[in-house]
Amino acid sequence: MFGKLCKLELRYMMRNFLPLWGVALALALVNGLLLPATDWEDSGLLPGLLLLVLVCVMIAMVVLCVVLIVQRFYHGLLKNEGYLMFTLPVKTGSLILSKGLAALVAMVGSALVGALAFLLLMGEVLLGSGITGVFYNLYLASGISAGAWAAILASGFLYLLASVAFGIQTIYLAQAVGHMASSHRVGVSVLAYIGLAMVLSILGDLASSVLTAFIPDGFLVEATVEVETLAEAVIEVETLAEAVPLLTGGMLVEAALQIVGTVIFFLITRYILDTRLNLE
Amino acid sequence: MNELVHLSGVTKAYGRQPALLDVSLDLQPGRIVGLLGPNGAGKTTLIKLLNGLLQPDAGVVEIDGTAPGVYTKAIVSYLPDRPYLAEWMKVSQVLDLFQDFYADFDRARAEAMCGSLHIAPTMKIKTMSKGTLEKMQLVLVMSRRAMLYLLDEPIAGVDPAARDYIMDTILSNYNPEGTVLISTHLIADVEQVLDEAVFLQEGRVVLHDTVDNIREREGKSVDEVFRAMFRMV
Repeated sequence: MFGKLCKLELRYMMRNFLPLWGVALALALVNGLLLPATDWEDSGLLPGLLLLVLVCVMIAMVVLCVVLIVQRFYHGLLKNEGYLMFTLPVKTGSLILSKGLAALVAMVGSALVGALAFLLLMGEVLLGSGITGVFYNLYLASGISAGAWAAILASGFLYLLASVAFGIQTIYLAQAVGHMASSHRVGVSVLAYIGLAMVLSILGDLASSVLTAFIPDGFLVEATVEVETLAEAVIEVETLAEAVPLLTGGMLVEAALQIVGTVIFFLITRYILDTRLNLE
Repeated sequence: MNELVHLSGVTKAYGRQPALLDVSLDLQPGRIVGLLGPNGAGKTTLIKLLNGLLQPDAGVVEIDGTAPGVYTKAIVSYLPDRPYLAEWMKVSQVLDLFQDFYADFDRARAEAMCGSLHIAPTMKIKTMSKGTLEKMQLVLVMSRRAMLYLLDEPIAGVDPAARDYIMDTILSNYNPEGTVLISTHLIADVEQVLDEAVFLQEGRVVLHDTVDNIREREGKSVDEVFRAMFRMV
């Protein structure tokens, strides 16, 4: 049943996102082909206009992500559609989780499309500038193995996923809290979100200060120096290699904290919808 | 103990406003029951409690011996008093959804009924008129071989011809081994098909008996009893 719920939610998300993703990639490709050959003094408005449209599409993608996350939970569970969804023979947790997973796919998909669009747009410029060779030389000189780079990227991706999941679940919890109000539920939801954001910000500051205590004395100063020398391709291999476990470890700890937060917020949201649901 | 529906001491309030007060009610399988009362009597609240859409403040709600949950939702077919289908979906997608989630959904029956109403599978929910959407929802609900049908005001706000269609659809499609609970304040339109009547007044059950007993005891129709009981002073 959970798979069927996910299919339903993904179908809704994709019918909104697939056309937008397609337009973004197509525009990026056209711009990527046009830009290097553009003589900005003689080409008129078209190249600039196309670039502007691409920027608008990318902004629309970000806005649509936020709007649909809010809307699918609000309309899908807390308004009229809730009468159908909450009478399906599935657990409340499955309803929340399926919406969260579909939203996560849409967010991550949009991020990947954004990155791909950037590559399509700037690909020829990047290739022509020889900057890829600079990156490759830096990679060789860094003394960090391909496995370690993969670990950095993997932990970074996990951190991204956990952050997005936590953000989505925070929005869901705020709406569930708003649903408990007898009137002005949208307003209460907004206030609940602001309250949650403030509490999370304070907790985040506390966590940062605790984590910073584990960083060796002078590391941050040395790391800054290393970055500068890295640009000149003269690096102290030992220091950079030492940074890998700290970097990946830091991102993994952050990801774990976000996952714990996501689980806690999910459980509270489920509790509210199980015990305080009041569709009107 | 073979009650399909069992409520005991059920109380529900919205803030300080009581909706149901100490309601106890047992319904057997294989009955058509009218849940009758004026607006605000607590009919919709009682149906929502049976669906698990609300939680009682006190008391016990059970369907087939189980509190509302995944099991009861699999055997209850619910028609709410409002549109509840996602507007972006097509008819075929709605049928897919019901087929996916309800093991007792008879798709062939639903498609036949849609066909008789000239509702095409490619039709979008958002393009349907209010009347067509109400009929579509009724088709979905009555295409299930459910143990309990909870129909909340199915004939409110529709013209007499549509009422006839709705009542015919209910009577010719419900599972005879199951129970149909119809909430309404339009007694005359449903009286002929009811086995039992439950009268709700200000959140309390004030009468629960077979329709035959009510007629025999009072010497008048259920509709006349209702009008006498709820006459505005």
